Amino acid sequence: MVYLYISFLALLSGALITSFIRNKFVSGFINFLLTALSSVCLIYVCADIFIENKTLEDKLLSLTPLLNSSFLISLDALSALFLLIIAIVSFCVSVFSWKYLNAYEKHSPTKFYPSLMLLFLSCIGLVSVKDLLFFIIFWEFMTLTSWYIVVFDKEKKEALKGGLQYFITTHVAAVFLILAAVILYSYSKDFSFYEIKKALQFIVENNSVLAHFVLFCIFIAFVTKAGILPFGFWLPNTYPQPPSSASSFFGGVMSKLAVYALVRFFLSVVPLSFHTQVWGFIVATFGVISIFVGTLAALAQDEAKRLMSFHAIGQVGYMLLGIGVGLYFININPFLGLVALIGGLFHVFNNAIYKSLLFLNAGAIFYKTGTTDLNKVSGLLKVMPAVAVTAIVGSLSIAGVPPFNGFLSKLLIFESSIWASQVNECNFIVKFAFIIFGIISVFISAITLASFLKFVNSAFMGKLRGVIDDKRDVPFSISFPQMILAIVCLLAGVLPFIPLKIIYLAVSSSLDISVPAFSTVFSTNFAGVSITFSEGISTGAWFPIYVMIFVLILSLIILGFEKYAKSPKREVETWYGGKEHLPEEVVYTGHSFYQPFKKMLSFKIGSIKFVAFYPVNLPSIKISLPYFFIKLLHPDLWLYYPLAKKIENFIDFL
Amino acid sequence: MDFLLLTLIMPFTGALISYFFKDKNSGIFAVFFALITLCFSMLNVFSEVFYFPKVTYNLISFNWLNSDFVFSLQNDALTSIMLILITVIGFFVVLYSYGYMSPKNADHPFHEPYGSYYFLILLFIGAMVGIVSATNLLQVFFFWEITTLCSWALISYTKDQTATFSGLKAFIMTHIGGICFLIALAMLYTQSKSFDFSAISSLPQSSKFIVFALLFFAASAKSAQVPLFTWLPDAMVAPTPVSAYLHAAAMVKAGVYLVARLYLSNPDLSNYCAVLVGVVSVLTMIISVILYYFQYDLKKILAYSTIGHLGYILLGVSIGIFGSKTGAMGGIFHIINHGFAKGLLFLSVGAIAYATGSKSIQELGGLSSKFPLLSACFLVGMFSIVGVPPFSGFWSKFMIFTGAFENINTVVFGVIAILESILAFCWYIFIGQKVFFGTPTQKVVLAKNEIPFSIKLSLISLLILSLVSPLIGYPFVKALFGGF
Repeated sequence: MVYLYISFLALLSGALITSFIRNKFVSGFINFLLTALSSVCLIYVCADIFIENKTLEDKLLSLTPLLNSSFLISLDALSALFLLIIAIVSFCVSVFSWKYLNAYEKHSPTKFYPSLMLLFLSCIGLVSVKDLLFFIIFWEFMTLTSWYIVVFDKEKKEALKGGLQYFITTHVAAVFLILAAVILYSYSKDFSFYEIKKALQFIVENNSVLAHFVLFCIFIAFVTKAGILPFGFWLPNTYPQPPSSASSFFGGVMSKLAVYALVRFFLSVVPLSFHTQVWGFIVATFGVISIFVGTLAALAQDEAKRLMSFHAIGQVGYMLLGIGVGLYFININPFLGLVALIGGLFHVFNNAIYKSLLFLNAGAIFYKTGTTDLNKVSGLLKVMPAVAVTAIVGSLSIAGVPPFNGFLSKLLIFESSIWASQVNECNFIVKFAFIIFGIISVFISAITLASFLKFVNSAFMGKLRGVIDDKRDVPFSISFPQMILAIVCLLAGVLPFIPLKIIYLAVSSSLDISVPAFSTVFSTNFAGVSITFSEGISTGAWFPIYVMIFVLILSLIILGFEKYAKSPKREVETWYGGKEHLPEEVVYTGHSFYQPFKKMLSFKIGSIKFVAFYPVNLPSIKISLPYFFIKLLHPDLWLYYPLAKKIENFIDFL
Repeated sequence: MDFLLLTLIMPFTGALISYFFKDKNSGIFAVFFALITLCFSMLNVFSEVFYFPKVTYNLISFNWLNSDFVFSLQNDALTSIMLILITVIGFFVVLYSYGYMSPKNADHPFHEPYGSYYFLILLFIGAMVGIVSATNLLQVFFFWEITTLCSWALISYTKDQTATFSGLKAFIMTHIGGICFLIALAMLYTQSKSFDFSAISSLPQSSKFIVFALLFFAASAKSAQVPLFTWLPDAMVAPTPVSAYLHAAAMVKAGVYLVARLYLSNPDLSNYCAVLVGVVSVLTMIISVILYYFQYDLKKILAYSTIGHLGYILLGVSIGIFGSKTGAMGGIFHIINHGFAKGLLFLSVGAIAYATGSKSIQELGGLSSKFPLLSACFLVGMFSIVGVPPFSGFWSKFMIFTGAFENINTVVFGVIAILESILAFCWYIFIGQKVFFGTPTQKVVLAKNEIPFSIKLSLISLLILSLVSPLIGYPFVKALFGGF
């Protein structure tokens, strides 16, 4: 517990110190040092919790009698899972930012580092507290600090627009959370999660409508932040705006914290009942909508960070699908429910790693070329091979290609949603819906691969274009964090039993019903894992090590052929069918990808144009009120001034 | 008790002394006396309130209206909150005025003599101290009318046509309230032979509500609630420190103080009173938030926002009368949080006008690169006002919401208040981004970056104070919660 406080203090002092230092190098270094300290402390805390599977609790400050609320810090395995994610990503982000901020020559670091460190702090606080009031405070503080980072480039119009959309939407959503909190408080008279759980139990039993309303408020508050469509419309306009290191933290951690909040509430705070099932189904439905629209819309994007923002929406959809299926079944079929929940949370972990990696890749591209527009850059493999390799790793992970980490978590999600058909307790329509969900998500997985092929292909392959400054090489401090993340991607994919065990602990510790033991669900060894959906029947297995051995041997053989068979290599100029073309004319840019597909999926409803189911030109909102109404609000005009005039006339008359 | 008496006397003395100097010296004396007042009030607050829940001192006893009337002072947690607000902001406003009242002011140059300005401000500080430390309604009334007078004179300070008109309007409107106050006093005295705050309880049921309603009407005119709220936006023609102090932090708080005091002294107010206060406050909040969206002058937006937030405080008290202590404490807590934040906002807008000569949203833009301090002040004030945690406004607003949802009758009020909060947030954040971010406009590019030290000092101090104001208010509100 002390280590958690150390990390708190490190970040807080870092925010204070860096707000007075204008030198980019020094303040970046301080940021790096203190964030590293905090990450180490956090990892220690997490390890402590995972190894002994315990819950740490501490009460710091109490607001009684004004409000029955206290700053209750309580770390269980679910919190620790997210602390681990925060620790890894925040470390990588701060290392990356150090030199990266030099790309923004005109901007002072005092606008960036303090808010970044406060953002880390609020994220840590958010996953550590078990008191609704302080939860809301950290939640809003997170929005505030991230808003300040979004509007980092204060003279850029899009940044301001994105910031405005972001702050207003998430604040309105947070107000729903406040509404839920005050309603619950009127029953529980206490803000701690334990008391609220009792109150919710009472509400669920006695007032079903109110219970649904409260769950609705909670749902809205969290999915808006997570970027689930249609509530997450702000996300693609917002995430590309800040410097990439911050975008990476947004995409990797902040939107995942919304998923944390959802899981925390629905597993530990809301009592398991029929309501959980209903909302599980709703969560899964919205998840699938986001998967479908978000990922398809990503295919039509030409700007790297915007493309990834759409994928952030799609990927959150996968998590929500897994969690929704899990919530639906945890009560009626614990095996299936558990696998789905683990799949969802495993995807959270994986996504946090590779989504931050991909945003950092985009940042590295920006550092070298000054743009992230895929139409303007290409062939960067030649100048930054390390970044290119990590980008490929990240892309394959997000597409769910074995042996990287995205594969197994997606597999668990697909399998569990399709396995719903085998559960006797649920009715036909629900079964059918879950099967459809599963099929859609499998299909979209291929789209994800396609859209990242576009990213890798147009940014890193082909002729070298777009480099503005040859001297500005990508420094080690920029490529190093990407390597770390890429290695984590690979390790989590090749050795799945470690993350699975951790996530099993996270799920089981946050549920208060007894769940099947780890060994009955997953039988693991060093090489991989086999999965059981119902007692005693093994229904799937994935042993990456065995597969990898063959793949490795094959690649070695091919390498050997290339090296020792002495096949001749020749380099010639590209042949353009006999015609003469400038190189610019024949380049296959990002825009050229998937043209027929884009044409096929663009349509119009009214004056709003949709490309891949996503509106591209929304009309601006104009509010006007009728004149007499405004006049009504100014009693001066129709009451006081005429009255005064009358009195004046009357006095004159006298 | 010496300290409380000295807190009351010092501003009046200072007012007289600084009136005799015509030039900058009068400002120096005013700052000096405001500082002394501040010190005495702090000594008073911290030497006694933490040990005694309520202290009363009887000073002079004289025979009036066939009974022994005692002029006495009291100090409890509510008085302490108000004293902190009045004297601390009072000092910083006087300090700010020292820089602001100069011929270099780009918005409106002020020329010597300044004597009357400082005279009125200090007189006003004294009157406010008198209101909050009074033990009975008659004493309150006495000081109440002094503040109305000061307000009239200060609004018309520049003596041009709109200023004199607005001053007169404010005077008439608040005085209509004052007359109702007088009627209420007469009714109270004829029926209960006492001017005590708690005398309302001893009235018969029928006149209880009437007396309360009259007093509430007086308070609502003073606090710019429906129906007499239109004077406050017009009063923005006053010099900005005056707006900050009279029309955001102190004078308009006198009305809500009176209602809160009545609530604390009369535990058995009927639900009709609660409904009256609640409906008026909620109506005010709705009207003010709609009118936000049609203002393009920064000070007017702040004025409407002040109206709305006074509505919040009254809503808290109304919820308290309905039976939720949390809501009432939230309302009282909001007095101090809103006071510091709104004072800060007004002063930063004043500084913007001082430097650029404009208060219009359309003419301003991209201020943050040239004036980082002003932007920080405005943004902190703004986030406090709209209630983004962990800034100060959140805590009190949240308590009011919580209180509103504790009682099924007040849920509607709570929902409306939450709605108001969202709408206000949208407009504020839009304005914040418009004025402070983006590309600098012509006015901002041409502005001279020469803000006097005294303005900067008071802005920085208020910035810190508004950040920590929940910590300042918390012990007092806690004492109040357990204290009655």
